[in-house]
Amino acid sequence: MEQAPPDLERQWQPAPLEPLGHADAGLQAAVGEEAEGSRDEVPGDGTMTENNFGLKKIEISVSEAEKRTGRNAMNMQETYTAYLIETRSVEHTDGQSVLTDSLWRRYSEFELLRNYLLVYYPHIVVPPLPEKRAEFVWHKLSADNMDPDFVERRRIGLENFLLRVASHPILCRDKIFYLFLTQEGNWKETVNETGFQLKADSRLKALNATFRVKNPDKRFTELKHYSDELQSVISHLLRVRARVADRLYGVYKVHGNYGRVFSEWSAIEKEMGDGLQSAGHHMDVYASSIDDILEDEEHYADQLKEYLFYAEALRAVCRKHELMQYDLEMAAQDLASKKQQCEELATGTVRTFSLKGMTTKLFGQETPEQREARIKVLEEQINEGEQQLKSKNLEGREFKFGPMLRNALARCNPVK
Amino acid sequence: MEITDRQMELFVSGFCSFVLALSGAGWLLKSFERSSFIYFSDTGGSGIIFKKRPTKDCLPPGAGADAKAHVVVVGVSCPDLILPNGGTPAGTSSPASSSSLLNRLQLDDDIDGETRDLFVTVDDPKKHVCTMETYITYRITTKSTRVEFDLPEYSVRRRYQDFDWLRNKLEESQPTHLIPPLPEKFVVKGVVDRFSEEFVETRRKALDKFLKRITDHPVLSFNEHFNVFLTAKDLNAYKRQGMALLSRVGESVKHVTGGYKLRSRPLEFAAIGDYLDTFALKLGTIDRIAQRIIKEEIEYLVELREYGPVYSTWSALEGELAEPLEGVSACIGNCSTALEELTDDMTEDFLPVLREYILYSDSMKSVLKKRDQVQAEYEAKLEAVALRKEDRPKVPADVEKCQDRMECFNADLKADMERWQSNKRQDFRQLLMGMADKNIQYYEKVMSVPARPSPLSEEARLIARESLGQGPARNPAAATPAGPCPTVRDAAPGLGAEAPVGVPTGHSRAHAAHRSGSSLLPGPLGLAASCAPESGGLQSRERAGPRGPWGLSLKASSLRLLGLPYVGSESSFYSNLRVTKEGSME
Repeated sequence: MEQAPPDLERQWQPAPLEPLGHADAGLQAAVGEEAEGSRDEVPGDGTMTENNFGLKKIEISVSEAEKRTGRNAMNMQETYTAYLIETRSVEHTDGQSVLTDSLWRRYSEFELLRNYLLVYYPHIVVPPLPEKRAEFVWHKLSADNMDPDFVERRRIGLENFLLRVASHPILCRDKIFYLFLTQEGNWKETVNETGFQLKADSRLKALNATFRVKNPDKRFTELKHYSDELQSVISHLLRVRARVADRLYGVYKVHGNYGRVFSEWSAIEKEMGDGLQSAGHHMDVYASSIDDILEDEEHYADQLKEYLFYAEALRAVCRKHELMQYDLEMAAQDLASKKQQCEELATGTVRTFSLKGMTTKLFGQETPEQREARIKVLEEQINEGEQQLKSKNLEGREFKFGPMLRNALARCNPVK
Repeated sequence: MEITDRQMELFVSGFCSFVLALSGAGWLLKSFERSSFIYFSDTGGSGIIFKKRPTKDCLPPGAGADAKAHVVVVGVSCPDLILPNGGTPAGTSSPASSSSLLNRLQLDDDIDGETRDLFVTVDDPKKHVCTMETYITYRITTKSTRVEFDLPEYSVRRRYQDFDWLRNKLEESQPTHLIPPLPEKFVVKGVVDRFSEEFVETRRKALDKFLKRITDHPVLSFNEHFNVFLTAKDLNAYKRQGMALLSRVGESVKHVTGGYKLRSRPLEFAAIGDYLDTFALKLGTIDRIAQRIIKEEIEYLVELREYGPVYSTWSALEGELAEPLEGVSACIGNCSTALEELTDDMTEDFLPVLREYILYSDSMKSVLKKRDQVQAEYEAKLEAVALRKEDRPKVPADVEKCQDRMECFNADLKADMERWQSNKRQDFRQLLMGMADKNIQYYEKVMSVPARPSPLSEEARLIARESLGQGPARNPAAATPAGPCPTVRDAAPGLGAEAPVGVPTGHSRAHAAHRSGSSLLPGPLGLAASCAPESGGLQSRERAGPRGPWGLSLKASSLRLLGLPYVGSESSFYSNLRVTKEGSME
């Protein structure tokens, strides 16, 4: 299995074992702020959270969306939407912000970034992206990706994604992320050069394979249960909400019919005429008010979806942990059997039935030189195995005690 | 100054006689009333209007078919006779206007409850099971001081058949008047349960209304059949008796209306006819729309009922979020109940009135047709006479009779139309305002989120206040959402501050910021500000950063307010409806 590769590209990333205290403290501070309420955190003109990029404060915003046409990989015309990402650095002294970078990115590039982060930070619950295609739509809502409302909601979702990544104490230091915000051309190539694609593929395969872990970590199992249940509850909720929205829409729109009738009726009345006319007008207003209302509700649904995807990400982390655990167990098992073999060879005793033992008995014992050689090989392997085990243990510990997860675990102990 | 004994004597005697005179007058007045006289005095004239049981001989000539009229106008010479309720008589002493004059009086009398002397109520439905059939009877309670009634109080039981009989009799005997409609006779047996509580109650209300309308009518309420209906122990015997006798010719204006074709309806009756046509049409449409709305609301209710419990399921998974989520679930449950009440009210109170007026319009149209017949007959006869070219200065008696009939019919009809219009206005005012009120109540129930003392709700409130421009205004532009909906603000000033509004995170706020002239607040609960077309917009882009992956953003977000449906413009609309109604429907 892999060890942490000393890629140059990752030089921005501090050693995974950065002092827990620091990361924790960072999060503590953030948590503390949250508890106090949002008033303090969000200053008057509505700025974003800060981002410590080597002591620089940066504001990030996805400010615009634009329809573009271009040629895709197969040289066919396609229309897509590009989003403008602006970064501003905030000077300490006067709080003025200066536009440092602005570039355009499309959704697929965001996806690429996220996949990269998923591969390189398996122990972190990476913030989710807004959905690729509109799901859980109720009937009047457009499922078209080019629909302006959808684009707007997506813009907000993308901004949230960037902000969440930027406010993560570990993720924010990643160079690729920084380049995403600053280097327009060639970013894709840079990412691909890290070779994360291969790792991604192999991980994907491993994740989907079925395997059983002998001593599953209880907390992770609970976490996985929780994420599964959360996923199912939220998707149920979203489905029902969509139906509720549909029905409510119907109710309002039928009221619109009143508008016409009342105004026709008002034409034949004398004293009642004005009142009826006004009533008709208000019915129309009422009927048309539902569009805005439901549009706003989509934002709520978006937030739910975000947590739906978060639950997925959480589950993925749990799975990765399981995988790691499994590898660990396999390595340990392997080591144990090799040690045993070594011992047997050294002492010449055959404790367990083995083919070697059989053949030895049948065909005579091997020469001492051969035995020596074998013992040497085995000892090397044992050493390697022990190293691996050590590193796996290390990885596992880091995994468990990754700051995000620690908090997540703490929160996931439901007060039953 | 010293008061001498003599002066004292004079004073005392004067006072006593004054008191005597007063009480005497009072007694006189009382006796007048009891003998159904009503005395009106005016500034100096000598108008006395009597109200009493008619007998043929005391009617002035020309009262004609209005034989049942119980009012005789005597010596009303001053056109500015002031009536106690401020009404002024339109016409003078022409007989044709007598009934309209007195109908109007009667109308005023109704408003002034003191002079009403007949009260009828329908209640207490009971099921009767007999060998041949099962049916429901209703108790009719009558209280009256009228001479026509032997006892001051009566209590009888009647069934729908009896009401039907009464109506037919009234139509026969008072063909020139508009008879109120009965609720529908036939019910599709399979679809509607004739004995279900709702059905019986709806019918009872309609029957009660029917009788009350007759009671209020100056002519119909004195009808003989009506009297018997209210008082007889055995109505069936009377029915049999009625059928046996031939109806007296003089009693009804029923003619064998054979073949008289009216050339043209006089303008005013044509106008009435057109009005009724359109009116019935519009009501029919409204009825259909209302039914459709109820259906949609019920379907919405079904979904809501599923929506709420999902939050409960979720809350079982959570730790800190459990309470707010459970709260949302309870809210949604709250809304479901409120909605159910609303739809029930609509079905029970709104729809029946619409149907009643549709039936009313139909029966009125047939009365119009009868009037046409009478006019046609008269015109035909007149023509016949003219054709005969006889040099008679005098118009033959029967043509005169026809003319009288026609004129009385016209007069009665006009008077009844006016009273119908006035009643209709009142009824609809009540109906529509009732509907508006019910809806407002619904939204108020829905908005009444129990106050949560947690710091989150405080935060929510703070933000709500701000957004509504009531708190420390971050955006002066958003301070006062002025607009065409001051009514909600006035009506519910506390609502904005109290009810927690959806607290925005990156989503909602940014969204609100971008929507200039947005008419809705962030979150699904737009409150008062939502009705203002320019809510002032949150001009700068406000974004709240995410607060960590498992963020409190979830808690602080509109999440827990989500169960509450969509207030704001609706309650403003309904408030406006009420205001409008009050303003322009007197």
